[in-house]
Amino acid sequence: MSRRDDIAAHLREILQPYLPPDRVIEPDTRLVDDVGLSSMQIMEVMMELEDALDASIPQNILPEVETFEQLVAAIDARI
Amino acid sequence: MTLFDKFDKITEKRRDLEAAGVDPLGVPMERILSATEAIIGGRRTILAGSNNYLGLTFDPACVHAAAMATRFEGTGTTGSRMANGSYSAHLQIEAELADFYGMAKGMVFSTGYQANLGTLSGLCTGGDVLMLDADCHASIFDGAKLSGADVVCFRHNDASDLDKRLRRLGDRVARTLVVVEGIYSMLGDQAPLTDIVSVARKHGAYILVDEAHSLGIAGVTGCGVAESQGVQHQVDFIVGTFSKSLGATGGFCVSPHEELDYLRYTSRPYIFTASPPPAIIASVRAALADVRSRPDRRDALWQSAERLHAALTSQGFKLGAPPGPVVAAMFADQKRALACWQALLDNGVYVNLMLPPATPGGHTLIRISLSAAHTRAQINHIIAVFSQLQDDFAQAS
Repeated sequence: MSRRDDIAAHLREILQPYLPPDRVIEPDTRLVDDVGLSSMQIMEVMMELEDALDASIPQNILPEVETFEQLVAAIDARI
Repeated sequence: MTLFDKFDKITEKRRDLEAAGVDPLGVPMERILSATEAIIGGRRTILAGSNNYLGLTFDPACVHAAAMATRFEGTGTTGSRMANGSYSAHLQIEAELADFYGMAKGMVFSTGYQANLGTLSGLCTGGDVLMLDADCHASIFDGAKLSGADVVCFRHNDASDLDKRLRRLGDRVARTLVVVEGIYSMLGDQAPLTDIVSVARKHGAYILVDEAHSLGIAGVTGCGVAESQGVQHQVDFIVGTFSKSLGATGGFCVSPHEELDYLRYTSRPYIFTASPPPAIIASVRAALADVRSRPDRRDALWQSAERLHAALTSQGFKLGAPPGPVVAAMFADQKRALACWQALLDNGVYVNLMLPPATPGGHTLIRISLSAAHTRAQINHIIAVFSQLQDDFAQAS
């Protein structure tokens, strides 16, 4: 499994409890508009992801991120 | 897509509030009567949501100092200190704040928001790390964003979580600033500063404590939570505001580091803002002198806090923190919270309504901020109205 796949797998698992019923995560799933994450929930997701990867991920990457795939790529580029 | 489409969600939320018959986000106060009373909707109303912790807004010495400063120095400074000069009172209040905290340097900002914005963005830059408690105030997050530093969050009030995240930074910890608050504004909970400062020190990170809601309230001399927990002199920066206990507007940063002075050249929110007007500085100096000489006000505030906290707990409200100047009742049911807030106002008690997502845990909060100037009768009235609300709710359900 590549590092990017590893990040995607962890992120998919962390996002699961936040998903609305009948929605699955796709690469182009939008974190705010589709999953419905609030700013506080995004912060929580990031902290959980840091723990899962045992890495430090700055929140600065978030303004450029809209979708699941973009977040995975942004994290991969920073750790 | 237009410029205004982004406001659709706000429109929707406002419509929900209007449908519920409440307007908590901008209650008009027709006349202010005292530090603890105003006329709202034609009714005499107790102010229990104004953060006027020591009740100094109508203190005769503060009002007199402000009036005299206006008379003799004018209504405003009409410019920034960098471009238009510092008044002697600006320098005096900075020296007095540094002396109060036993620090080498002090620096004044035009608002409390700008104190965080200006301190963080002046201190930190790209390549540095800001390690923020996840429940920090928006001014801290905004300052962090303006700085360009990497922003990493740790779980609220969790020193072991901070420890873990500082460890992950490796060598970068030497250019990391940990930022926490003494008392958190929403729930009124205190930071475990002894543990947090110990962890930051162990890793070699710097630490900043925002005492906005604890200045004048906690500590033997009223410096705040860092003082009350015995770690004030291990802290690198303390930020505070003039707009709560000190009854005016403005903010400050004090530090044992002489380098704080360099922020005057790097902090855009300091450089490009008009400096605080004479009246503000004069009333704040009088208020600070009051904090230093009147510990009885703190005692009065804490007595009211203990009494209100005990009463609301016995009435069955779930409160956000142990007794303190902020008492927040947490509601899982937003409709009930809205009704409760409106009923309090209808019964002459103004408090704050805090809505998710800006609240910890996604709760809707009825937030009370107490004042040393609240009388026993006023606290009794607040307790009685809450009690009636619980009775009404029990009957309805």
